[in-house]
Amino acid sequence: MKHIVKIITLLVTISALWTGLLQMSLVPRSHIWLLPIYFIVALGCYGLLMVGIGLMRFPTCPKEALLLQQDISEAKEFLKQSGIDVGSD
Amino acid sequence: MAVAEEVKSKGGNKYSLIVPTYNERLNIALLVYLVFKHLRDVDFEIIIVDDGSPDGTQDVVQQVQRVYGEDRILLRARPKKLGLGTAYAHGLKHASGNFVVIMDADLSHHPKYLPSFIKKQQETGASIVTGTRYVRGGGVHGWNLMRKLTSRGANVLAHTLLWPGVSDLTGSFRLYRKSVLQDLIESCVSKGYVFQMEMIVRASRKGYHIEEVPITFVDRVFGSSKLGGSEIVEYLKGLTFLLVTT
Amino acid sequence: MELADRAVGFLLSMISLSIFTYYTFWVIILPFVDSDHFIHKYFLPQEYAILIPVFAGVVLLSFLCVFIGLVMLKSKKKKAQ
Repeated sequence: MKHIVKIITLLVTISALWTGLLQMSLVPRSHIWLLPIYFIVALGCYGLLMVGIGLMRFPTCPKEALLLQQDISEAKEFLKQSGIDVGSD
Repeated sequence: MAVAEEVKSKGGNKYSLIVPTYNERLNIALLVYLVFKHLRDVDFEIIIVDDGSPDGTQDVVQQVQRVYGEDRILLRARPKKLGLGTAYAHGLKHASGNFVVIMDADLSHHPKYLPSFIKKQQETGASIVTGTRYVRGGGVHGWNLMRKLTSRGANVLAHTLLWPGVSDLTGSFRLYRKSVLQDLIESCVSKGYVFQMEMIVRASRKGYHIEEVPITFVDRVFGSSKLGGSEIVEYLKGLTFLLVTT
Repeated sequence: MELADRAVGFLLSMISLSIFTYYTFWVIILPFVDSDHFIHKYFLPQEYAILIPVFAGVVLLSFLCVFIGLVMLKSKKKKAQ
């Protein structure tokens, strides 16, 4: 099944539930009319939260940069000995 | 084909490293040295697919071949820049191993992680082992705030829309079973780095066993990897394309 | 540098969480509170609970469209050269 179909099915299910709720009118109508917008706002907040958390816990590795420099100079040394012309940066 | 693979795996696996290059004269020699340093008792070959670099990358490769042997380092050049996807297909044609590793030549993918890819594959029997930057033990160096922000945003968007089951979609440091890579390359149509995302999403949809290992990604010149407007639009297009075709 | 990036991340999470709590309170809980309760002073009338998000959505969408359009125009120009 194509992925878009899955997402559309999900959305259709949600809207079916919503219209069902609208028909039943257990709670005030105006209240239920707001739910789709509430859903979208919640989705937006979720996205923003995930980006925020991702940024907060973004894994960085300053040590790796130093290690790489060491490896590079080691490699350059070897290449020079083997007579490979790598030139300068 | 399947039988040949089985025979090989009994006698030990062979790994083919495909490295596409364009103007990587300095880096390719360093990369080869580091690969040989970190993969000591593994049967492997390095296939360099050079897209006609004007800076003499191929000369350097030939010099390196003299040191390490032409059977370990294969230069399979193409006349001009033809794109990443076809570079992998081209390298794959000449690969003799039963596993293929794809990595960048600019040393942002450090060869010291190769043993962990191989180990992970052997432990789990996975068809694909992909390097991920966004878990514990992994990481990125040299990105500014804007780059981090777009990367996180892109990731959240892709995960919300595609549910791929893999944490790092656009990384390209991966180990594939050869037959799997062949199958994937045939079914992927995107270009550029959307291609990496398409490969892993399609693999996940096809039900291949995917495992992850943490890797670090070092941008050697701070802030050099920029994501401009056109990349963002390309990404969004790719996302929509994957949404309706996979 | 590093710390500043993390602070921005924290700020984004906080903004998102506070918008979510405020909006939830506004839309889900407030209609059940008597309309003469003092708490209503801290919230705009219900209509705005629709108007503001719709307005924000339209602004965001048009911004996105303009951005994509501009980038496409630029790349077309580049190709033409």
